[in-house]
Amino acid sequence: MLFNSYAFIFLFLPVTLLGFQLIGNRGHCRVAVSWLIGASLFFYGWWNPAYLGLILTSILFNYAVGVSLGSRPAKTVLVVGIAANLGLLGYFKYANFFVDNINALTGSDIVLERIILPLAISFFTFQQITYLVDTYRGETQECDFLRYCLFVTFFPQLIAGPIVHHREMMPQFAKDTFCRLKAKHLAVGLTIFSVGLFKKVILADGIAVYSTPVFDAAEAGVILTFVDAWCGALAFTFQLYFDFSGYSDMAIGLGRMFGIILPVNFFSPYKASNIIEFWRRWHITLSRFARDYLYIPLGGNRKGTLLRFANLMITMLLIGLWHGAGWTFVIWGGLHGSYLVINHGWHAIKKKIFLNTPTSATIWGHALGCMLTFIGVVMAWVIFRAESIDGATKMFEGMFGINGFLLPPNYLGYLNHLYGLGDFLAGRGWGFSEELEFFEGLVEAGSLLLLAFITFFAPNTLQWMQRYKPALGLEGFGIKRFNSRWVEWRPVTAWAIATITLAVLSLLSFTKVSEFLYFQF
Amino acid sequence: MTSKRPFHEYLKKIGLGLTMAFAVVVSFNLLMDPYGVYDIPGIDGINIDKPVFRSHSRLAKAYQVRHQKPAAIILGTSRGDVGLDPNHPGWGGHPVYNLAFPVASIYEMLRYFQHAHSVNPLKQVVIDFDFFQFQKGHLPRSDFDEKNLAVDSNGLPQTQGIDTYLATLASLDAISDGMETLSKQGQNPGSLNNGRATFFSLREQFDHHEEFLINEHNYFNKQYRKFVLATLEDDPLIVGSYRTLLKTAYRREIDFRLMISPSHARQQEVIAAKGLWSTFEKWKRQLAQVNEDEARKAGKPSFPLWDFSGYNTYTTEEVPPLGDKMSSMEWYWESSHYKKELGDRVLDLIFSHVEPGRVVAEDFGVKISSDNIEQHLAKIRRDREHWRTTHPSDVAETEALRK
Repeated sequence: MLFNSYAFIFLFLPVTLLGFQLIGNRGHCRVAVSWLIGASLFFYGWWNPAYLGLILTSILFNYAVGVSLGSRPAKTVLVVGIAANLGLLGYFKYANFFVDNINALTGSDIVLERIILPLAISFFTFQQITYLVDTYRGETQECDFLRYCLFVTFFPQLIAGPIVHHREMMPQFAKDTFCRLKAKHLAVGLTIFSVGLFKKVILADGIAVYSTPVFDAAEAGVILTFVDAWCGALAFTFQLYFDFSGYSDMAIGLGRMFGIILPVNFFSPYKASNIIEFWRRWHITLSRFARDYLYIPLGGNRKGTLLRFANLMITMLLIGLWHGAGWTFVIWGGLHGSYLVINHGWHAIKKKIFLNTPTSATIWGHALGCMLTFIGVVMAWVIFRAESIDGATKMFEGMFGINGFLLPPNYLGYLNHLYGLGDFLAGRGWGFSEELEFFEGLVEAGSLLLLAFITFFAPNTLQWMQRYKPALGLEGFGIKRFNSRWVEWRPVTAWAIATITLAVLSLLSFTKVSEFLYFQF
Repeated sequence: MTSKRPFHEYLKKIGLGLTMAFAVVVSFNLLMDPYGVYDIPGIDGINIDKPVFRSHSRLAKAYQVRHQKPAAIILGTSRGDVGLDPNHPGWGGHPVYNLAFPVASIYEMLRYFQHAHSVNPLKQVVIDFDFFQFQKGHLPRSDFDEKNLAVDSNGLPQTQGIDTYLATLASLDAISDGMETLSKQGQNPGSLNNGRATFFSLREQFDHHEEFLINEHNYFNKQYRKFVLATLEDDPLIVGSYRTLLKTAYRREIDFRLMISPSHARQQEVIAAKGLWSTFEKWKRQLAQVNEDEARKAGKPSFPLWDFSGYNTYTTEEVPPLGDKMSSMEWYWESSHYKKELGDRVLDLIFSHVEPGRVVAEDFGVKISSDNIEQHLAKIRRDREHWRTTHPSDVAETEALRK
């Protein structure tokens, strides 16, 4: 069940909230928690009931291993536990990929049926591994079974994160006040959810119409020119941003409706002025997991620069592979790994030159950093989005101008208003022709600019909502209070109207009426 | 004054606001009923004209058929949609609906036929075929939705999904189309209650000659660009749908009248310029052959198949010269879309109807079958040679498309 569906918003969510409230209000907290687990499993099973067995087995197995580790922390048990989790993930997510590559490399002909990837397996596997590791380390004592089940299945975070940590969830589930809905939480949650819904349905899906055809064309081998390729790549860059940002907001909002504050997962990542900062703002809970359970155990930065860079690369390659079983994802991870290595290297050089004197960047330096980071990220998204390396290459050929520069014919006139820019470009090989296949003119350019403006200059949802502690882990971002208290969200009519507007526009965009456009035939 | 329970108040406002917004949106869309899905009574100046009907004809016509329950229909592309009149006196007194729509694929024709037949058993059907419909891979357009039809492709009843209702009552698209409906009352609505479209001419911008050129350019560079004829062997969806259509009609004893659209002589030059002349002929042979095959299998006389293309009084109507914005052609909008006046003569012949005061040229329309098709095609070839010698400037213009 998708968050952005009528079934979820008008049936599942109200029924789940109402049941939780009715049971919780009578003081049956454990029953209310069971209700919430049941609802979450229903939510999961809606997609394919056959996989309910998988998630339940995984929960039971990990809980049992956790109990064993809690009473006697044996390394063998931990290794077996982790191996079982990774084995499951490996089988469902990577077996086909592995066999395909073996076949390609050795020319063998091993046949393996296409295995369907169970929803959320990448998320619940990681969450449970952290639980096992921390129990082994003696860092957690929690062993209440119901709360453990809720920790894994809680529907707001089940399917697309954030990858929650038991340390931040269990105490919230254990609170006396949990199980009673509060108007304050509902109001805050509903507002954040509505903003997220708007980002997903209107902004992300709205801009997707400009990216999908371009990437499809690249995959089909169509020659793309400069403007087409860049607009497609930028449209995808914003599509993914608002998709993920919106989904993270929706998850945080839904959790909050039940009084649960989820960790921050997304904090204006395109505002980052270098790639290290980008990864502190993009999919924060994944980076956190990778740092604590992969990078640091590998040795982190404690064993010299070379090993540190090697550890970084390994971590990023695996993060790439986690996103999908395909070489494009691995290359994407590797590219980001090399960005990070360069970034850390540059910092080290800067440190030597300036002898540790802190240098603060000028506003231009900061802007330049942001731009470089953004371009690097866009390039990497092209590989991430492309279905094959050939498709990505076709996109890059266009973006690097190898296939020439075209704009629609009327742009010659428009651009000439800008100090004769049109003629200037025409003189340097730009064509103004109807052959341009995808660029849809001012509407597309305007949409991209609008989204760029929101992305780079508008405060994010968590900043608007800052007075009500919208997410965990916001301390590190140095959120500043707004100059006017009217800008911050408060439960007042103006904000209610804004929320209703976002919600109504989104809800009315779930379905479309197809139109026929070519009258002439 | 600040409320003591600000969050409760806030939630109440949101609940109330959402409910009101939805109530207003749904009521508005229901009242405007821009696609005619709900058969809401028409109110003058509010919703009686449906200006977005034509741009959503696959949806709108599916529902019009449910409401009007016609016993006779017209199937075809935009040519039949524009040119063939359900009010023609030749129809046998049945309620008639024009169920043709732009760029119809043969599969869609079959599906809309099945739909109409399940709503009310059909007595009579006129089908206006176009050459481009038999292009290999000519599939339904993206606005075609199986769910809007009363039966599935096996002819079994299917239940309506809730999606169409949600989309037509609670979507931004519906609101925007409802607004357009409200604001364009009293203007040319684009289509009539009986389903027939009034052609959207570009004449305000262009003269007749330019419209011909635009249309010919589109056909040459788009519709016919990579034309491969769907044949009996290799395109089951297209030829198979044609076959199923006929098979059903023979079995259920529905009176089918088949026809090839009366395109203008210049349109045929475009086909020739694209190197498709022999394919065009092959297509006509195939139409006749499948018709006769199915008749033989059913043990029935074959349905009449009329060819209105070729060179005759109407299809050779002179095109006014470039720059002449005053003259209006009598029979054509442009090279492929014929006017109702010509459509009426087509139906006169199809129904053997004689309308007092209306003359039908003797050289118009030939009923074709395997017995006469080769002579017929040979005659058209000769007529074409003759027409080319008498119309050098028209020929030069269509030849120029190749450059």
